Amino acid sequence: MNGYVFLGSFLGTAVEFVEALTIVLAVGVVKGWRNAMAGTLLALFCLAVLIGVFGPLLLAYVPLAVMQVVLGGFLLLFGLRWLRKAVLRYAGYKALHDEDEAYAKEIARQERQSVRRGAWDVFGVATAWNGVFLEGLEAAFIILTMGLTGRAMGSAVAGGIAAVAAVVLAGVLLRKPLQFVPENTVKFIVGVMLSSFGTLWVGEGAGATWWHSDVSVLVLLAVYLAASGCAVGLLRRARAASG
Amino acid sequence: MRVWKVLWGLLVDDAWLAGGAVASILILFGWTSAMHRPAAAGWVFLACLLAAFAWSLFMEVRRRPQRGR
Repeated sequence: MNGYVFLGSFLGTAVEFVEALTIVLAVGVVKGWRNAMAGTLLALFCLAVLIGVFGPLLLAYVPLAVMQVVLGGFLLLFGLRWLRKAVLRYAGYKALHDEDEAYAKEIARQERQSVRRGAWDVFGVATAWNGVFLEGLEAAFIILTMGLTGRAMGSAVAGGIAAVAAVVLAGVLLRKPLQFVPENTVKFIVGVMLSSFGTLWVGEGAGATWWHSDVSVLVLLAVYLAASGCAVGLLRRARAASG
Repeated sequence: MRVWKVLWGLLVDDAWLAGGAVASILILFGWTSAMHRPAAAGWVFLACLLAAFAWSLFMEVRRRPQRGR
């Protein structure tokens, strides 16, 4: 079990599924749980097929160095993008994502398409499918990339499954959006992790020799964390100075 | 569509970041293919990425106040 890959996959999947849960809950409350669950299960099945088909295919036919540069490159872009957004949110340059507001908007959208509660409703099923599949696509990408480039597909898939189980369990128990999840903090941590692994793997794939091989990831994590922390501090100060 | 939103975000909103990351990868390849100290290649790559990251933040902050006008 690769702990770093498991953790990265777990956090990345969890933060995406927290947003998906908000949509599923809204569909469930207005259109009935049968419609919400049908859309959710169908989307999870599609995501599992995607990972199940592309994972082994890429593993069997694409050389590791190519995968490290191409998939690692995407992972790096993805991570830096999340990190940049999180830094801007911490510094007050970008609004924080509000799950309660998103939930209220989705409830209103579902109520405009009123249908007898409990009956089959294509709009409700499609909305739940859409929410879970599109949010899950980013999670599937993280699982695939981390699993393939880190040669730890089992750990990546286990992290993804654990995250979905945790979010579903929390949703079933609470029956309300997971507003308490510090989404920006999780995105910040995942951004640091994805950027560090992306940097390590792209470097390896391009022929760079890292200090003590994979141990360098700890240094990369520390550097990205320190750089992002400094960026938040500097931007906050600049914002305060500009009034 | 979320996928298009992500791609659009990378191309337009995060153009400085994406461009800087691609340029860093090209510098990395140039460094390793010229066989200039492969042990330093990774750290040069990291320095380029951090510079691109800092520059993209600077450009975003400079652009933000103009958005409301």
